[in-house]
Amino acid sequence: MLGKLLKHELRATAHTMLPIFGVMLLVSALANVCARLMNGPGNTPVVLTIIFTLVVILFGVGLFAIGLVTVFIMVRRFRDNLLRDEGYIMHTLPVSVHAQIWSKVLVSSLWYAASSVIMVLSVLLVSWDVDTIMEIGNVAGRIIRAMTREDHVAEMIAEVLALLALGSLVTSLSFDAALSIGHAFAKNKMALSVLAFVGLLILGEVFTYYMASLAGDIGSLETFASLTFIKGWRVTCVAGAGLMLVMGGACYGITAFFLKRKLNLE
Amino acid sequence: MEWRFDPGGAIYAQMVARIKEAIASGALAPGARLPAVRELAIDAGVNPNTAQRALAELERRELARGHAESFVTAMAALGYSGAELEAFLKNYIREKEEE
Amino acid sequence: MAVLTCRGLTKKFGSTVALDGVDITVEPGRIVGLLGPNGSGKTTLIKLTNGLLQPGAGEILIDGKKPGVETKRIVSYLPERSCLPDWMTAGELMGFYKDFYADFDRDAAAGMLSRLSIEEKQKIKHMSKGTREKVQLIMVMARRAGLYLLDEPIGGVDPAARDYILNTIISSYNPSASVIISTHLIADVEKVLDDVIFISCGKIMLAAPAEDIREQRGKSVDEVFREVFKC
Repeated sequence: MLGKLLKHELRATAHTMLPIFGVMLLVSALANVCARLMNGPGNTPVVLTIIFTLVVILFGVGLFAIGLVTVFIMVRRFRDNLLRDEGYIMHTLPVSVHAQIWSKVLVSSLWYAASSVIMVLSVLLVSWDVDTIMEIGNVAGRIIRAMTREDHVAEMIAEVLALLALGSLVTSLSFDAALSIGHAFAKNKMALSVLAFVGLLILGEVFTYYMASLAGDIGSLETFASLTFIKGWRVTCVAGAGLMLVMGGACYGITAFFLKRKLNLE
Repeated sequence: MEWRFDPGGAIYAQMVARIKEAIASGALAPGARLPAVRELAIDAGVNPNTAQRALAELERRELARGHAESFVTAMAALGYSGAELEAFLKNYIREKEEE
Repeated sequence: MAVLTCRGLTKKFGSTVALDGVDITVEPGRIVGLLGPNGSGKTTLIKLTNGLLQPGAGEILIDGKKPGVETKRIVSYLPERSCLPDWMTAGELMGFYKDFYADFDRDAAAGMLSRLSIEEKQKIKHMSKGTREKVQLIMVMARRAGLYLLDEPIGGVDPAARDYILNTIISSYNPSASVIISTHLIADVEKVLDDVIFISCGKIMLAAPAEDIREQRGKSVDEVFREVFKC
């Protein structure tokens, strides 16, 4: 059943996300053209200069906002599909609450990753120019050579990506947990959801601080500094992953509990 | 067929009465098949179990007589009139009593 | 095996008692009216049956099982409000139901849609409120479920739509399945009911076959209801 939920979830979100991504790429391409035209030979009329500048500004805003827009859409999707009218259909499907949560978390993380890719593509598009592409190609080539030459670089990049993926899942879960808590009440659902989110953030910080001080008790700063770079890196990764797993697990548990036992559809 | 039910009183009984009316007025031909439960329920806008109960009641009372009426119709088709049937039956009964 | 059994079923929301020691048995092949004024506990009972709420005290069993994923497979629920996703077409909605419910009869649903001249590629967001309600009813009734739960199916619809709904309920009748219709509009619905359950303030006031009530009291269920519930 999770497979079917995932398929349905992708379909439902794709027809909002894909046009947004399409527009972003289009604006990037347009911004590229506008920038060229403005720097072209001869005097461009003032009106056109204004229009071109606006397009470039739009690109800038879009690039900045696209991550936020994706988050906003994913949060709204969870709320509208599971905590509002559609919930009457979703929660009476013969699927477990766990499948419901995973379908939302996995698909949101996918879109967060996708929006990062779109940001990169947009930057490439706006700077699309034979010289720039050659330059990017050079830099990429050097990075790859460095990876194969230096020990561990490939591993480190993989570990960073894994941590980002984990972070994305945990972030999704924290939004879902906050929404589930806030919507268990009869009134002011969104306000309480925001409050719950802030509360979860604070708890997360407190927990991290507490764990860090524990670590400080167990080892000491000197011990840490004496580790080789790669060992130190590994320890940091494991520590970070561990923290995220615990906090993610807590958010998952909260979401499951509230969806199963405190569901309060109008 | 038109169905109008009074608020009080069992619906199945009212259906039986309505159908008897229809047979008596000739709207429903004697010997004609009564509709299936489902069709009757849909037509009357009533619960299928209620329609079933009405049909069962009719079968208990009405259709028994309905069978005799269709016998009369069948014999008429073969050329025997009602009077001839009556005479035949009277004769038959007299003979049986003499045995 | 009874389709629905409730024994001492109790549900509280804070200090409000929504259901108070409810005992109900619904056998297969019955169309049952759950009748009561607003706030009597009808919706709470329905939500407990379809798993949207967890029981407080007491027991509720659907086909002998506690509410969960297995019971959701055999319960077909029509909510009071329109809950269909806007962006889908009628055809995609049928695909959705087919995906999640093994007992969904797509051909039957398609037939019902076409008899109402609803095109499969029409988007739900472009449908009128009345059409949406009919589509939702069709999806629910096109399932070969064991228990149909209809929450206020005829509230606020025009007489033609009401007749369509009652007609659909009658013609979908199946002796191994049961239908529970929750409503406060009894006059329109009582001819279709086998049994009636009167509920008020979370308690069962009366549970009897509709025909018995009419026969014994010489009044319609609607009239008896008004008497019982006059406040």
